[in-house]
Amino acid sequence: MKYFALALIALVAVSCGENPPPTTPYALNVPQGFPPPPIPEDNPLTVEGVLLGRRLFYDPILSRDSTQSCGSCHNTSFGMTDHGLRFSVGITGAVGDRNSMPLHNLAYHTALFWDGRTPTLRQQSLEPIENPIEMDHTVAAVLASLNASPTYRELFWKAYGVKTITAEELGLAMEQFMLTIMSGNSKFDRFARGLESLTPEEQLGLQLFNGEANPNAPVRGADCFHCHGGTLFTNHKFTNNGLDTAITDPGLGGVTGNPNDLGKFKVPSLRNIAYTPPYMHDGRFQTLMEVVDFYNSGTHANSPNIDPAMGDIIRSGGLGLNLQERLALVAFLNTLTDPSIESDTLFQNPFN
Amino acid sequence: MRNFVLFSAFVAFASGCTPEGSEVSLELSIQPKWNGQDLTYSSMSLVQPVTGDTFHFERTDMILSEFALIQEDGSRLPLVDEAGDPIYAFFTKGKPWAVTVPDNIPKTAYSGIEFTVGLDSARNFGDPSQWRVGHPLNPTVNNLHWGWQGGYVFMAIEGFYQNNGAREPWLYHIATMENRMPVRIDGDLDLRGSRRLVLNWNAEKLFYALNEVRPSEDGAFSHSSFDGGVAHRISENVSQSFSWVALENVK
Repeated sequence: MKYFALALIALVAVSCGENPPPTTPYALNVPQGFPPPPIPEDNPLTVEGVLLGRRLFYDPILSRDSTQSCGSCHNTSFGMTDHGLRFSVGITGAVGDRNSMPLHNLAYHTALFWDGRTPTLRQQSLEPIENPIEMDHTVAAVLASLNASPTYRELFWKAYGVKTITAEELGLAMEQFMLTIMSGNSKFDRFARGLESLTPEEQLGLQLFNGEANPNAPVRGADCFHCHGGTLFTNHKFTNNGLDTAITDPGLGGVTGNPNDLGKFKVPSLRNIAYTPPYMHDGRFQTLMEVVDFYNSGTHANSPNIDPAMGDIIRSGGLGLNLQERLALVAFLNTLTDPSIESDTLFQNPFN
Repeated sequence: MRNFVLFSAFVAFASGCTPEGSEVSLELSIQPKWNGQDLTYSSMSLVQPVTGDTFHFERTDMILSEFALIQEDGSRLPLVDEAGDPIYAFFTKGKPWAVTVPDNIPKTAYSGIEFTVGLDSARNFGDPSQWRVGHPLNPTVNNLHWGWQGGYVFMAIEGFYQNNGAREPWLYHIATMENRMPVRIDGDLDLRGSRRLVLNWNAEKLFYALNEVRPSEDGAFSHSSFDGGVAHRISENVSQSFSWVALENVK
């Protein structure tokens, strides 16, 4: 009987040891006025998962020579982009061919990368690891390193209850962290909530931003809202905005194989745009004024697959804004800057 | 034994109070068409039958609401979801155009169905952030909310057309309350069992059902204001662009 009791105690102890500790739900701070974010049902946010994901995001263990992390090219001081660089440089010195994308409010995105080739953050997060012009590593090798690390084994055990870390948990953890990077406390947001005022110049910029570029309209508009409208300042679509007369990068067409998609790229959110120069998928414009100037007079009508929404602007010979109006538009775009993306400790590198 | 008899009597009574199958479901399936063929988005091959204009569609997005059955006496029976809330739908290319009404429709014969392409004022100008994830009116689902201007675009159709040999863009965004598009389809809508009602959305009729619209002559762009009325003329055409195909039994 005595031995039976001991055996029972031992069995209970072993069983308890096999059960991961309960996770703590993570309370996502959704900015006022934002729609409810679609958090994946199979990856509910937990404190353990988010913190693990953040650690992985900033850990150079993901790159072949352990010199680069996700945070290397997605820096909070630059709106989660790459230090103002046109193209990022990988661990081998290879230079990329598209501008680093900002990482905020990603919970609302259903197609990631400039060409939309990946539908989920869990998949997206693994791609740079194996991209030869980025981290130039393999997921298998990363998993070997993580599984050799007592710290990571414990963290994955607490977050996902796994003894052996697989690519699935690696992607899920990084997905969790990226889902939490919400940004909605810009000057414009505070203005929209009645907490702050815009300057007359910013007001003019707002009016232009939301106004139609319609020669018959009584008030001149820049038609920005058409593609960059809504709470997130993007319509989540893929468009050719008339940058070039010939396609130099297939964009979405390279993913779908549909010739009608050639030259189309993801419409980026304009939130935190002042943080994220240079602009466009290839970073060709250094300043917001250059961007406004492009829409004002530089679009190409004969660009293949140009978005129909650009048609009226181009047929009108561009937006036709004067200097004061263009400056006002830039002033308004600057109100979309949310300093918390830079200062929120939740988004910061935990290794610092 | 006595308890069994009492229980059986109770079951029989309860069944009598709510006869099984007194309410039925309805699946509304809408097929995007062009001249009777499936609407394609891939090439400049859609010839408008009246004017001969040739189109290529890139986008056909629309929000539907105010679904109701027309009862034999002519009154409306609003259709609601499981929670008793009004039904909304968002249709876009590449996804099924279907609405399912759960088993809450009184089993009888109806004389037609109504819905609106667009929204009532309360929904149109309400807070768009109120809608749950995945709801047709959630702006991240439909991408049709005007954002800070307030209100939704009810229908967004875009593409290209042949203009004297040149491929030129067209875009019509139908919005504002005066451009709501009521649709009524009359027919023998026998719902004495669960059914699937199949309708066609005949996209070619956007350009001629009631009002002839030619991008080259009437303007190729409209955001529903300062457009010479082209958006309103299209909205009137939209109301005439749906047609009855079949009423099918659902097993």
